[in-house]
Amino acid sequence: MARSSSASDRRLVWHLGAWLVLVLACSPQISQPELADLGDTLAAYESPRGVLSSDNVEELVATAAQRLRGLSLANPQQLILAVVDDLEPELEARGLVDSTVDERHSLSVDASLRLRVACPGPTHDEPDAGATFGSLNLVTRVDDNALAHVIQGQAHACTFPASEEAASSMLDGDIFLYRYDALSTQVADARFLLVVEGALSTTSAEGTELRNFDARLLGPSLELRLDVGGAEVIAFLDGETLGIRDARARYTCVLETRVCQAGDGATLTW
Amino acid sequence: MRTAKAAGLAAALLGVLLPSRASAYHDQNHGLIDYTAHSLNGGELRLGLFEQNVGIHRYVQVGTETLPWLASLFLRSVAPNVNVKLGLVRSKPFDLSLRGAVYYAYLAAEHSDAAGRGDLWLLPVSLYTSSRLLPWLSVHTEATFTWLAAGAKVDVEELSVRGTGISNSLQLGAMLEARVNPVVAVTLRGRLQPYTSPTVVRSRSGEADSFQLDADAKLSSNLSHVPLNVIAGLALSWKNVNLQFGMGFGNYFIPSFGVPIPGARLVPDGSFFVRF
Repeated sequence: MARSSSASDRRLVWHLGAWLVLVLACSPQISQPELADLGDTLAAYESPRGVLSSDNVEELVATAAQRLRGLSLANPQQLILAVVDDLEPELEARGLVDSTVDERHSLSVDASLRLRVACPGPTHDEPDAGATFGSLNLVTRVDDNALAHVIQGQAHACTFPASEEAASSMLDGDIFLYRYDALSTQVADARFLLVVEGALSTTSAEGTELRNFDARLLGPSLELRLDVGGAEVIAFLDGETLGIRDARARYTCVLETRVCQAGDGATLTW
Repeated sequence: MRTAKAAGLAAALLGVLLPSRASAYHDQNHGLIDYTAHSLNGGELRLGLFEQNVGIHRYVQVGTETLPWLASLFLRSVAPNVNVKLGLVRSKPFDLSLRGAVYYAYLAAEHSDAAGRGDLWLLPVSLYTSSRLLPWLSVHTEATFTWLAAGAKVDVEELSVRGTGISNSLQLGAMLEARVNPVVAVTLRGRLQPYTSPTVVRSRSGEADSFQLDADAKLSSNLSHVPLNVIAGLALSWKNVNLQFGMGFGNYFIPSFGVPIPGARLVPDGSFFVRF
C-alpha cells in the first residue's frame, strides 16, 4: 500500500514538472517581419559600375532628364514625410527617440511594427469625410533597441499631391524604403532610398509614369539608377542641375548645349 | 543598576530560547508555514501582518495577503488577492505542497495632457518541499513560476495607445531550518530568479480609418546577473504567537509580488502572526 502511494506521489511530481516545462516552453514570443536586403542597390548608388561615354551619353541624358522630371513631379518625398510625420510621435511615445530605444532602463527591445496609413489624397486640403485615397501598409522592426533601416510594404492606389499645382500622384505596388538617417520630418534632412516594384504616376499634363524603379531622395535632391550594359550609372537632379555619376566621375550636363562636364574638366558631347 | 538590567534582559532571552515542553509548538504537525511545504491544519486560523489564512481541511489552506489590500488605499482601487495551498504529500519526513495565488489590480492615472488605465494580473504557482534531514535540521525548497499579464489604455494628447503585456518568471528558493528548541529555529534562506521571460507588449494606436500602428515588442532585461538574495534569521514560535525576522544581502524581492528590485542591498526580513 505504502509502495503504491509512493509511486503515485512520484507520478504526481513528474506530472507537475512536465506542466512547468510546458509553461516555460510557451513563453511569450513575437514574430518579426523579414525585411528585404537592399545591400546591392545601396552599393550601386554608392559606387556605380557603369561608364558614361560618347556612345551612350545622348540616350542616358535624355532618359535621365525624362525620368527625373517624372520623379520630381510625382514628389514621393511628400508622401514619405507625411508617413514620418504620423509615425514619429508614435515611436517617441514608445520610447523610440532618434530611432533608438531609450536604454536608461537596462532593457533590450525587439519589436515588430505594422503601420497602416490612409493616403492624403490629391490635394493638401482636408479631404471630405468618407473619401478614400488608397493606403499604405508598411512593416519594419526594432532589433536590440534600434529601428531597422528598411521599411517595406504595399501601396494600394495611394494618391497624394504632386509637386505641380492641381496635379496628383499615385503609387501602387510593393515599396521598399531605406532610411539613411534618423527619421525626420524636415525635407532637407530626409534621406531615403526608395525601391518600387509597381508604378508611380502623375496626373500632370506630361502624364509621367515610372515603373519598377529605384531612386534616392536626398533632401531636395533626386537620384535615379539607369541601366547601362548590365551595369549602372546614377542620374541626379540637384536643384536645376542635371547630371550623371558613373564609375569614374560626376558629370553635370546641360541639355541646351548638349555637354556633360566632369569635375576634372573632361567633357562629353553629343 | 546596569548589571541588574543586563541580567534581567539575559533572563528574558533565556526564557525565550530555552526549551520549554509546556510552550513547545513545533512538532510533527506544526512546522513553519512560510517558505515551506507545511500549512495550517484543518480548523486552524492565522492572523498576521502580511497574510491571513485558514486551514479548511488537513490538506487545504486558503488565505489572502495584506499588502495588496493596503496598496488599494494608494491605488484608489481595490486590489484583491487570494491564495490556496494544497498539501499533496504529508509524510513524516517529507512534505510536498502546491500553492497558487491570484492578484488583481486596476490602475488609473490622469494628468492634464495624459490619462491611462489598466488591469494587472499576477498568478504565481509554487511547489514546496520540506524534508527533515536530522531531528534538528530541516531543508525546505520552493519553485515558483509567476505569470504576469497587464492590459492598459493610455491617452497622451492626441495619441491613444491600447496594449497588453505578458511576462513569466521562475524563482527558486531554499531554506535551512536548524531547530534550537521547540520555540527557536535559526534559518538561512536563499532565493534567486534564474529565468525571466522577455516581456511581450502588444499595442495598437491611432485611428482605424487614417493611421494605425500595431507594435509587438519584446522587452528583455540587460541585467548581467541573476537576481538573488541570502537571508539569515530567527523564527520564534510560541503556542499562538509566531515571529520571524532576519537580515540578508542581495536583491530585494517585493513581498507578495516577488518582483526583484535591481541592485544588491541589505535585505530586511520579518513576519508576525498569531495562529490558533
